Amino acid sequence: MRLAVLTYRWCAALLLTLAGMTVQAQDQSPVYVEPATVPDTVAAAYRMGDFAELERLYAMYGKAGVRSELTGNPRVEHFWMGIAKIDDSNLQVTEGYYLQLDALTSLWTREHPRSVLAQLLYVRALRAHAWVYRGDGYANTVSPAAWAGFSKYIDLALGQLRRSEALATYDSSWNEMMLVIGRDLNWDRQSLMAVFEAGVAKNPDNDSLYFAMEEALLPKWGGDLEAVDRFIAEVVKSTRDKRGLEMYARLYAGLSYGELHQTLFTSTGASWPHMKTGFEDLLKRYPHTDHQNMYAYFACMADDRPTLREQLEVIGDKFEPIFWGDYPERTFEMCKKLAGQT
Amino acid sequence: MERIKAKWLTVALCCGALLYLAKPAIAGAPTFKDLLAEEDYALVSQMVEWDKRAFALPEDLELDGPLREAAATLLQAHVARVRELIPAWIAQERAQAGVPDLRGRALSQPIYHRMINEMAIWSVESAGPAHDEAWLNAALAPRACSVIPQSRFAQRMALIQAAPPSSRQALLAGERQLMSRWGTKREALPPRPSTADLDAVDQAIIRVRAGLQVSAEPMTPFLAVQIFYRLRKPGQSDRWEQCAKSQWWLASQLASGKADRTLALAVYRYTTMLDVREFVPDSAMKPPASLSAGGNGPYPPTAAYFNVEGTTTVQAETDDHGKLLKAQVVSRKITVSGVRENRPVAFESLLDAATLDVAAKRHYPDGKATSDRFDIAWHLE
Repeated sequence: MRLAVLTYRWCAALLLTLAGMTVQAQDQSPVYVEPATVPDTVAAAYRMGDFAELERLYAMYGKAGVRSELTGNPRVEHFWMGIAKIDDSNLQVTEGYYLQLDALTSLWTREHPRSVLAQLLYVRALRAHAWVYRGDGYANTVSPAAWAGFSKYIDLALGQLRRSEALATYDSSWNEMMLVIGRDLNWDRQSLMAVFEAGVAKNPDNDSLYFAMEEALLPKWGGDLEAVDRFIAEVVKSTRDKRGLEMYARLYAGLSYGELHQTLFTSTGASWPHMKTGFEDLLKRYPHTDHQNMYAYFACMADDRPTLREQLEVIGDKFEPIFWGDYPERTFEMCKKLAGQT
Repeated sequence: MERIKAKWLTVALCCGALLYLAKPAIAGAPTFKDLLAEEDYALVSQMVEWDKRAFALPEDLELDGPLREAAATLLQAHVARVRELIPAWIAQERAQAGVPDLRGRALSQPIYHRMINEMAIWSVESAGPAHDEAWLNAALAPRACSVIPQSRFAQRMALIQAAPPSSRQALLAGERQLMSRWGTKREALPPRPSTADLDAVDQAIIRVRAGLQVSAEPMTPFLAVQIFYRLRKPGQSDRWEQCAKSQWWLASQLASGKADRTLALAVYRYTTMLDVREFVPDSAMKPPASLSAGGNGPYPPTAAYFNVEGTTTVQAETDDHGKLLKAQVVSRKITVSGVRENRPVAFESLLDAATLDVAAKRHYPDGKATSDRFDIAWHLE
């Protein structure tokens, strides 16, 4: 269950985000050389307990609208990816590690009571601790003692997050965190939607919010695919002026990577022509090889051979397996064959 | 790397000796005095080269311009000082031995020991209260354990780089002063903290790992991941982990408000001091079968490598069945060739583990609990 929880949003949002980590190697122009390892920089600061540096990085990357010039991914996603390297609940460590992390981040909240970041780090640490108790298994495999540990820490996380709400008036990461915790606690759709809408109002450029909400609407969380279709339609309405159909393509792509795999076009109302337009919109602004790989993968899935051929040509030897589904090499070969057929 | 350096030194000394043998055949008949001077010159050069390597400042070490410049100035002065010190030490060794033509390993080894000891003293010494305060700030800086190069000098410069800018001036002034003391007799060398103080951090970690309450600051994620790693293997900490442990304990001691700041800093300095085992070639880590310590079992190989001898004193506590409850080394009187004017700071603890082994194997009388203090003599046979 836990893996399923993680996969959807990660596959959706972070596939694109990963592009930001490899840009230095791919980009030929020195003009566009960005800090290729924002997550690593952030993780290094957190690892050494350097809160001042984390605060500095968050001020820089957490700002609304700051995106990677190459991939277009919000930098705030890169920031939280770095944090996740430290507070991941699946590290090969015993619970003592999470007790120390709780204590450290709790200390930061006391030392920096006006810092939203300190609050969010503490909440994340508590939530990770909750998941250490719960583990990755299906809900019906979790012992009562594990549920008790989970409840204790997730309640602490929720309480801490609620107490910091007033501080986070302009911080949409707070809403993203609340969405995730609300989902952990099986909140109803209306409550989650209210958190999502408040977050988007703070920062419509925080793409993670859309993916988090989309996941909360999945059948495994008590939702249904029709609700996902409706949600995507709503998102497109609000983002179309600025981003065309980019979010349409990305949200359905995310749904496929995380949940539906090759059945995207048969299980949902996803329209390939719309997705195609969305990828074109994205590539117009960010002609990055990662997006081209993704575009080609879905063109193959949709049996759009001319588009597939065109994109395979553009990709050349820049095959990125992460965008090619569960069996990337095999799928890539199969798609190349398909492209060769008339 | 340090072992490679040690091997290099050995090879270089052998080459020097070969040169000494070969030269008369090639160049005629130089006097004995000429040959000795030549050998001395070779030894000075070798020691200076060794020192330069031990003080290497890697190009890729991230230091800002002013700090790199200050470091280069310190280095230049240090190398010039060492170049003058070695001939003086050679003369002292000959005078001490009463052998005017003392040479070869009998001469080079004490000089080498003395160099290592000077490095250790430099690690633990204070240049005064302002320097100590600056050092505390530096040691507690979040990035203090991020960059730890091989060379001790580079390590200290990396620490200064990571320190708050307000501490830099005092830190550099302290470095200048400490380095200028090389080769002198230190009147105010801080005493070695007790074994209990030095071991306190490891004891605290054992308790934390066991889920017991410890009054301490939270660990950095870096340290916590080392301590709570599921597949952790017992053994010595590498220098990053040691730095993080010492930093954590220093922060915890200071935060408690009860600790003596001077002692807390001394513990930090001693626990992050150079480890002489870095200078021992692998081949010397196994004691030869013939090397024993009287009735005390095999001689500790590192101590044997550095010719460490003397007496250690143990405090042992037993229960009323004669079972040893606790033993600790409470004092040491040891000698190391070449180290006379100052305590053999670098070598002081080399007999500790073996001493505790002896204490553990010792027979204690039963019938009543005891707290006994006894000496163990260590002599290379």
